[in-house]
Amino acid sequence: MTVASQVKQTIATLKGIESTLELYSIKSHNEDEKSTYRNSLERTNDIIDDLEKRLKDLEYEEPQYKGF
Amino acid sequence: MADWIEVLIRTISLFFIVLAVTRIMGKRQLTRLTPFHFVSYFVVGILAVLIAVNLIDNLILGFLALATWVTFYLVLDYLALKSKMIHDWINGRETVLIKDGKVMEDNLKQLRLTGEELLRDLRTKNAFNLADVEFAVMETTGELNVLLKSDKKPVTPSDLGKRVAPKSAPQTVILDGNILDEPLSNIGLNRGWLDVEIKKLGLSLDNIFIGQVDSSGDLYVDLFDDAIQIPQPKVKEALYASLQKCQSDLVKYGLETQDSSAKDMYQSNANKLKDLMEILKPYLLR
Repeated sequence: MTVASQVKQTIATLKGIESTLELYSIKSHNEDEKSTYRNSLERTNDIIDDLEKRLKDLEYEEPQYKGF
Repeated sequence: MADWIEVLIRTISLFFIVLAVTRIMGKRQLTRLTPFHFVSYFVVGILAVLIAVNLIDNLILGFLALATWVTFYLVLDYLALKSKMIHDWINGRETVLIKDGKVMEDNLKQLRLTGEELLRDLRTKNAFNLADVEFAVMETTGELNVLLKSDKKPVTPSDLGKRVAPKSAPQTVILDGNILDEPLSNIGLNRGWLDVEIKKLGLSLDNIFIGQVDSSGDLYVDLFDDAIQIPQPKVKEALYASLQKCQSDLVKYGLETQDSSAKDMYQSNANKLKDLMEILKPYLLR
């Protein structure tokens, strides 16, 4: 497995985490809990953005693996 | 009119009167009554019985006594709410029996308590060792309340310096196979949501004895048929595990890459995820 596809996998997992956090931030009815989930959601989002940027670089460096 | 019919009618009517009176007199617990309240309840009961079995022939006199007692009780109770002085006068004041770990012998004598009785009361509060007690107070109801020395108190999360997730009270949404609409709407959910959740668990509503929704919106159910094993929600544990996996992945990428700026990026994000895990840990793992 190339690095790019590994990073892709991690991004996918992080996106899964993000959506679960979003679900909980909507479901919780305790304000404190809600805001914690929402903050974590935003942080996860930042990390995903960083990784996606890196993924673009990787695909630029190794165009033969693009799309895998 | 035959005697028995009269007694029957009197008893039935007094039954409901006493029921109403005790409801008005409030919902104090019998074990937490001060002597005054205790006597009041007794007087009402005894008067009712005396009237019912014809020991007080004259109904009017009987009811007069009953009404007077109840009225005075209610008036004094009301005044006690308004004035601290009257409150202390009716209920008495609490007495400190142990202060700074030392027994106050004078106060014990005043309450006509012996040392053995004090020790017995302490034991009922799980304070077997007098040396562990910092402060003990006899409440007006005769109950002894104990403050243990700070090194003997049960450990709380804050003693351990641990963060725990705030938990608000769960709502009971299913009882005896019936959906309770009011608690359900209190947490902003509806029957449609509940139907989906029950279907997800593969159950039918009439098999559920109790269903509770916790503060993060997960449903926990107890079934009539205890032989059935149902999967309990493990979404949060799974979420934490995938966070851990991502974090270790990022650390790995950081070690593998030759590009120094990418290395920094991976490392800083790995640290961010680690912080995130610390924050979420009390919420996700319990």
